[in-house]
Amino acid sequence: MVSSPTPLLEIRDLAVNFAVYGGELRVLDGVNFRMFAGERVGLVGETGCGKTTMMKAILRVLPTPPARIPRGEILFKGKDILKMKERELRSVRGTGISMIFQDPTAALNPVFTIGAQMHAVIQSQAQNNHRSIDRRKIWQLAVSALKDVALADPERLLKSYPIQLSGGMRQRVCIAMALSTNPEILIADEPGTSLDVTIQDQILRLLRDLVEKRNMSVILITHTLGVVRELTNRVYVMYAGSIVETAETTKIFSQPLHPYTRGLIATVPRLTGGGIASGIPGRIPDYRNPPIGCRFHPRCPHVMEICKQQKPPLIEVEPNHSVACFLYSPTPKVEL
Amino acid sequence: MQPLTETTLKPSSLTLEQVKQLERISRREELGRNWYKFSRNPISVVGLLVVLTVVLLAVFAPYIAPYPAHAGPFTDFANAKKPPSPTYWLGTDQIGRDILSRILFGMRSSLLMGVVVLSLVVPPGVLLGLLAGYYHNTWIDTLIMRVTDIFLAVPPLILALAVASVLEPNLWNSMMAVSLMWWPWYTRLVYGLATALRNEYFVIAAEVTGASTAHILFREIFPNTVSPILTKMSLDIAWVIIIGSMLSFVGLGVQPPEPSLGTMIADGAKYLPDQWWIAVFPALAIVVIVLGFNLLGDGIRDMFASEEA
Amino acid sequence: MSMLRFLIQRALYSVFVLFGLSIVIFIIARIMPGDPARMAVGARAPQWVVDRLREQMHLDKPIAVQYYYWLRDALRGDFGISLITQRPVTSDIMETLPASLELALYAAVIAGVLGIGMGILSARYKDSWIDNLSRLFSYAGIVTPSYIFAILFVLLFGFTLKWFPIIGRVSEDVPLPPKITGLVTIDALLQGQFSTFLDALWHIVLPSLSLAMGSIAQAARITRSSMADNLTRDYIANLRALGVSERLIMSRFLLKPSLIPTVSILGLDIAAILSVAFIVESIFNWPGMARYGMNAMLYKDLNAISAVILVFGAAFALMNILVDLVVAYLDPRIRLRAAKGE
Repeated sequence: MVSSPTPLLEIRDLAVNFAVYGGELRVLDGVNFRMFAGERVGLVGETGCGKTTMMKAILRVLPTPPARIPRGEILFKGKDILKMKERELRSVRGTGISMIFQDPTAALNPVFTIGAQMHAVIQSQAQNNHRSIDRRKIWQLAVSALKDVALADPERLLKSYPIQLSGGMRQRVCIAMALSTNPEILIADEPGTSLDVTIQDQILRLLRDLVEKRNMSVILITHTLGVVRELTNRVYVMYAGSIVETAETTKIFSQPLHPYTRGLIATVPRLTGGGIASGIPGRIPDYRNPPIGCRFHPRCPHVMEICKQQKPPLIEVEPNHSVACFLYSPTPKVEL
Repeated sequence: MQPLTETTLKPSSLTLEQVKQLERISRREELGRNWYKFSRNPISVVGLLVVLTVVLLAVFAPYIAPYPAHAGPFTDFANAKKPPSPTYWLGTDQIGRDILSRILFGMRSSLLMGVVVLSLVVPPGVLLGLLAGYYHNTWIDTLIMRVTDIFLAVPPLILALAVASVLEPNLWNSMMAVSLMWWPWYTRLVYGLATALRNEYFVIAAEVTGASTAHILFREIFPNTVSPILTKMSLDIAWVIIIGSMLSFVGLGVQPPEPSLGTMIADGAKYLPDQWWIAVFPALAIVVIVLGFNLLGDGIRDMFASEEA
Repeated sequence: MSMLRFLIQRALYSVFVLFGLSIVIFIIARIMPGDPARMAVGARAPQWVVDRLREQMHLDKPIAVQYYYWLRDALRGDFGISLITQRPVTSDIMETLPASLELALYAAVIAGVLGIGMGILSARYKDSWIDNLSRLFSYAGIVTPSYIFAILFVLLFGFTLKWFPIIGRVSEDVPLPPKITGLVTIDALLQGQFSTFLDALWHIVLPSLSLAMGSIAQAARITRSSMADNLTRDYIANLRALGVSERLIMSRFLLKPSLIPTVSILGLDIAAILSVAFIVESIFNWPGMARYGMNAMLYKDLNAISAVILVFGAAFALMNILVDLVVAYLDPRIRLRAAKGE
């Protein structure tokens, strides 16, 4: 693994709130995250734990309002994205980091052709990098981007509207758009979840091949642990707006530490072993009044008094393996 | 008695009486919640206050108006076309009547028009919409909705004018004329809602348990259409008032010497710009009334719309 | 190709609706108390004249037969003689319709440009003073009837500031250009009479603005809210995430989907403008069809009333079809669905 002293992307204590009727949802509550060039990181957690919000925050595409970022830093190659002006931000978007959105149907503008949308992306990329480009070249790039994702008849596709494509084709188009910018980091938000299983499988395999061929850094969001095991070399586990554990992928599966991670891995059906595990009782908390202290404590089988009062910090308990849980806290437990 | 809450009871152990009591509780809670939401929005509250003020002024016009006699056949040419003064706060008109008094009385017919038209229009419009929506794709639907489409083919004002013009011009006939042209809007609104609701589980459940058609229409479907109907009503009342003023403006509504805001504006327009107060104050009165109902209507709509948030 | 079929279907349905409307109008015209024949000739005419006219007007026949004759004549473009002008209603309408159309056309352009423009500015600078001002203006526009605006404008811009003329289509000393379309501004331009064009343009500002005020407000409100709505969508976030500039997103990828609801509502609004124009036309002494129709109503001129309402109905139906076309142009989903014949 290529590892350099400054991380490619680092998130420090990021919080995101959403204004809703009569209050605020504290969806992200101090996220810490770090990745180096060449890493393929998996981000796992239940639906609604804030994975997508975190990724949209990185690219600053959360709708504001209702979203608000009260604190935190997002450093791309050491520079804080949250403090960038529009010009600088645009040079990070696409070329630096690009994103495949979760729902390809929602991510494509229904009243423009695929060609018009890809045209805008390719042309903007050239402008942002101060290159000049003509219409023919843009068209060629769009065609080759569609070919790269194994779509047949790209010329006709470019003239089509999203509604004329199947779900799988839309997903491939979204991948093609995100890759057409040649990003250093590719964020893939649950690719293929909206599709049926065989197509989802094809999409994931396609994505893996493309990533390997181009040697990109990847953040893969998913709640399917099998996908994580196959495609990533490091995992971040998220629960209710914070990272609760991170380690190399093999380590997470062989030696999960956080009670939540253990529960998560226990839910994976195994071919050997006795039947399907029971999973974790309870559900993600209400973000309007999240539990005080560790947000997992109401569901945790090992809950202690301190968990109800303090939020556990993310602490490296062994090299490359961090966990946010008082069970592993090196500091002596404070009796209150 | 043990307090009855949703958590102390298991669904299976409920008697019919308890279910009804629970329904009453949740309805009361909902009412309270809605009022809370409504009252949180200052603009809706302003709307409500304006409407209440206008209604009170109109109802008590005979006691509030400085010159109640001026609302009838009264002339005082010595005091004609006097500008606003401490004696006549808003001035006098071309034959010496106090404009403030006439505005207060004019608001009575405006409001009466709004209330009467809506109460004539909403029940049949809603009923037809429920029927057409519930009997979707049958001849009942076809018949009702095709007739509705015909009435919706021209703006309601023009047909109302036509009907008003062939009848004797007075307040009641202008109400009839507007009512005759207004029901299709409610039919279409409710039709759209009812066609969707007829496939809901609670309607199907009522059907398989053998509930009567009347029960399904009025107890199952209708309650779910109430909030859009109420919203439309509060915005429509402003429209009816405007249309009423236009009818009387052209002389097809309230007849002189009975005061009406539309007639006052029409008469006053002849004395512009020198005696501007004759037309401007009644016009302002209309704007204020319509504004009040619009703010109120928007408040009601937002109150129902933000249900999910 | 199936877009054509969709159009034909819409047109056929409009014909059905207009046919139904003609029945409604006929019934309205017949519920009037009094004898139309007697009214046509006046109270002092001898009885035999009335009787002969009754026969001519088929008033002695059953009501269904009367309707048949009326409809047959109407389809031939013959709506009878107007009581007020004593001329064929059809020629009255041909003469007054262009003036109304011109008014509606200018009102539509003003409403579209100002309304959508204000909406875009409001959405772009949301919650700034521009937005607040435009929302305040929208509210005023929605709650104030057009005739009150007309009076206000006459008072302010006509009498006090004297910026605009307040009567007629052109100044008294300016001859009307020879009739080609009947729209004075366009006829003047076609014939190169530039000063007449300017004069006519000057005259149409206040009446068309009075009529457009409500629609400007409506369009601004809808454009603003639908832009604000669409701004939170993933298809906007996607383009942003891939480095497309804010300017391009706003002016192209956000604007087009947001205009769809505005266009559908604005279109119907403008069709309705024609029919509420009667008071505004009277205030500005505008020789249009709405004013003609109102006079017909005041004098119980049944032939003219029926014709005017039918023409309004036809205009409304045409406008509906036009709106459908524009929306289908803006929204490929509707276009493609129509093509599939759904």
